[in-house]
Amino acid sequence: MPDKVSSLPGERIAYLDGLVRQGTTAAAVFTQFTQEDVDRIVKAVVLAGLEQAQYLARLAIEETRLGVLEDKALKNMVATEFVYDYVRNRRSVGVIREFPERGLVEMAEPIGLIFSITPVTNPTSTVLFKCIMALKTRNALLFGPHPKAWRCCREAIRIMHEAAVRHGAPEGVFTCVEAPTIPDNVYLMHHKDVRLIDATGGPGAVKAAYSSGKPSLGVGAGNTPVYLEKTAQLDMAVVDILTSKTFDNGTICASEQTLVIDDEIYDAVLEKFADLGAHICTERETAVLGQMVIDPGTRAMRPMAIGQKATDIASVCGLKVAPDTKLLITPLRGVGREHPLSVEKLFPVLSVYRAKSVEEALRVCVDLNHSGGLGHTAVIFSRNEEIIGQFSEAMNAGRIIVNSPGSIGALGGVYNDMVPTFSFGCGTGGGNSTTDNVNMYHYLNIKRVARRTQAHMWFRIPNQIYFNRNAVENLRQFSSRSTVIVTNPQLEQMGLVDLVRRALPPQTPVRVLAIPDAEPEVQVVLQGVEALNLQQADQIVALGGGSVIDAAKIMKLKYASPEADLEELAAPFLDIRKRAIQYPVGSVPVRLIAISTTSGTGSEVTPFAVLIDKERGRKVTLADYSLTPDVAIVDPQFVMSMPRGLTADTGIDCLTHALEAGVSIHASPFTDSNAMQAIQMTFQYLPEAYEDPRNEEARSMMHNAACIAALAFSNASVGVNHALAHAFGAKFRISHGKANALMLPHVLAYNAAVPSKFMPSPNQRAYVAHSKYAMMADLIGLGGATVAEKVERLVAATEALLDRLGIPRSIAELGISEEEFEQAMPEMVKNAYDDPSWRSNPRMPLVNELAELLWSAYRGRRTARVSGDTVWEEANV
Amino acid sequence: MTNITWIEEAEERVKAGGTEIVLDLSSVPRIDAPMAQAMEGLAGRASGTIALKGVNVPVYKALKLLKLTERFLFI
Repeated sequence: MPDKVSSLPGERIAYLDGLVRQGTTAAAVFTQFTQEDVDRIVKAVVLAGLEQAQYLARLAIEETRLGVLEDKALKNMVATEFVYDYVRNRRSVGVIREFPERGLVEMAEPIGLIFSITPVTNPTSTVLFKCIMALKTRNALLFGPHPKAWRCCREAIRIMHEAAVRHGAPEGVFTCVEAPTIPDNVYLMHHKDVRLIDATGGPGAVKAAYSSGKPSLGVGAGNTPVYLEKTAQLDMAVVDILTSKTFDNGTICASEQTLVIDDEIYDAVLEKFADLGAHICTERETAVLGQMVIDPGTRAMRPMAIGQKATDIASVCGLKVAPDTKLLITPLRGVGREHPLSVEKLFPVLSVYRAKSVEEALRVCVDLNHSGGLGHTAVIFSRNEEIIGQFSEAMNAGRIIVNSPGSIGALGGVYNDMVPTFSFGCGTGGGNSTTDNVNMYHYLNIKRVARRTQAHMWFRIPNQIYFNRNAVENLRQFSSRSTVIVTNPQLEQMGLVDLVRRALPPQTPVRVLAIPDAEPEVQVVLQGVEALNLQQADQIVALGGGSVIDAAKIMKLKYASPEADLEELAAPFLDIRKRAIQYPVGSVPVRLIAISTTSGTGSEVTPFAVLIDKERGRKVTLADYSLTPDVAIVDPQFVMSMPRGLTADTGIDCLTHALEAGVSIHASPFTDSNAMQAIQMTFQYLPEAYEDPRNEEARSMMHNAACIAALAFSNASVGVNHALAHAFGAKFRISHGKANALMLPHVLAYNAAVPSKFMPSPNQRAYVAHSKYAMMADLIGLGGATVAEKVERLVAATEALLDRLGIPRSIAELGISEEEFEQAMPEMVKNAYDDPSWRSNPRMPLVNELAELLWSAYRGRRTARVSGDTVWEEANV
Repeated sequence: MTNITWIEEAEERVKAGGTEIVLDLSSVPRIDAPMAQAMEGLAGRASGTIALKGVNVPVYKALKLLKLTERFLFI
């Protein structure tokens, strides 16, 4: 029973329900058929349709009294042969398309019973076309033909059904409502067992279909504008337009309605039309025609004219024309209500408009397009590609036909490579859901089988890394016309700049730019860019810790790409490969050589730079591989005089990098090897470097460890520890290393526990953070029998290391009051959440968890016990 | 293709008051429209349980589309 109560008599409802039952049974049975079954049946019905093309055309003419016999026969042949040519080698059962490189497979699922409305203008051809599509896709069709064309349609359906069943199709695969009425259509459109409505009909039927709440395919009305531009091949254009507009007496809704002709060729074009049998109407004749064939109230065509011959229309309107007249041409002066013939005319009357310029022609075409033809079809004849482009841009049409007939061109497959159809989707402009030429794929539910793909990964590092004592000597090989050394005043005073100067090739012009020893602010960067411009630098040597090197990276960016918008480049992103913002490709060639004077940030090899946004009291992280220095120099002589506090802070920064990269969702065997190496070296050498600053081996190994850890996190990124440290450090002006240290044990415990929320990551086969921590514990010889024990020991060893380095045990120990901390909490949590660092953390931090971690760090280290949470026992690495 | 003798036999057993009938469809690769209609009729007339044995997935899916799966027991 249908969902909607109907006013139809009971017997009629029983009759319609019976048709639906036949169709649903056939559709269900059809789902079991193979591609070979389907293709065999389709071929059989195509041949049957082709054989009866002329017979069916005659039936259509006799019943509808519209169109031309020969053209209707041709349409029936196109609807079978051309549609078959399109569908025959396409798969429509099971796997229909495969994209192995993308891990995607498309599979077909039939729809079921489709209720199909067919028009009076193209009755049998539309039936033939739809039958082929339905068989190809294993669907059943229940036809509701136009009431004035149902007999010829019934015969077409019978022919197709018999051929189909004879070749194995299920009984009832095609059925037809006899003597159909609008209430029948309404009833069937609402029937619960109808799965799709395919309404190739007038606006009322299409609207009713879309209003039914059922998935529907519809068509729209046309009002095809044709721009005949002065570069066109006129003889071809005139013949094409005549062929098209007179085809089946103009009943195809894509046929030409108004011809907009450039002034320069207007007279010649009309002369050619007249020579080939068109009658050029006078102003009076045009007015008479307008009154007779168009209803002034509705602006719709009068039925008496639709599909009639030009001579018959002329006769009815009292116009005297030659007996062999093919087409009536009516000059127009505008578009709209005052110009009745500027609307759709499904008969051989073609309006023409003289345009004084391309702009005027395009404007008139837009007016016509918006005068009842949105989304349908537009035609241009031109050899000027630029104008073809402008026209195509201006038209809202699913089909823009170039240098070919509109009606036959829009059908597809004859004059162009569009998909053959008898149902033109007209998009939202025409009240439809598609602008496509409706085809077999619209009769399918397409299932996408998406296999897991791994994101492309990389291991990107600077071109050259020089390490060990006197590595700075390698500067000698880099010639430069103008070098700027970016450093800070303290390093200059310490004589480290002189070490660099001496290592540069002799006579290299050098300018030293000393900037404050603090994380760079925008103003400092811009002053640096000014200096680079002044010197016309082709080489920057950044000598300093992370702040100086970061400043130099951003200076290089702004120097090479003055248009770079730092605020925009700092926009948040989830995946560096898909980020919304692209970094500019610099227009000024400049080499950046980074010499680190601390052993922690690893900035000399990373693609990151931190900038202080003073106005908002936050750190902004810029990240792009274009920021990576071209050359890194890791020379321990530059860190021998590092103060103990700085040794501790930067050393813990290095450890945090390695620990976070090790468990990152972007970790790979390439980054793991670096992360693990750096962890081992840090646990071994950091205490020695801290306690015995003159121990050159320890200094050298820590300097290398920082660089190695940076190679890991440059490619695997960091995690939530950094996000929290950035937010907290910026708020309370705490050094980056110390801020990291205060968070570290708490984050280790947090990541080792079963996540409250997992981080989506195609490259991770399982949650492995706890197991990798256990591996790290093994690597540094902490012992422990189980994963949980090993993780506990790693946390304890980290805490012991922090104690040994004199790092405060809590944020409270820094002298920050609880009230002050609480007050800052919302801002810190927001900024931590906005920080891109956590997006590679193995555990997705919830906002409340960020706050809990900050509070945990506030209260102090001994609260960072893993035992409070569940630690996974299984090693899944 | 159409062979509904076995359904007719089942019908006879239903008429004879049989309450537990098992139909073995393991050698039926596909059902056609008359068979589907016959099975629908059988399900409507049976007072007891009709079990279908060895139904393949395409046939099961066709029965599902015909809303018949709830009227049979699948074993």
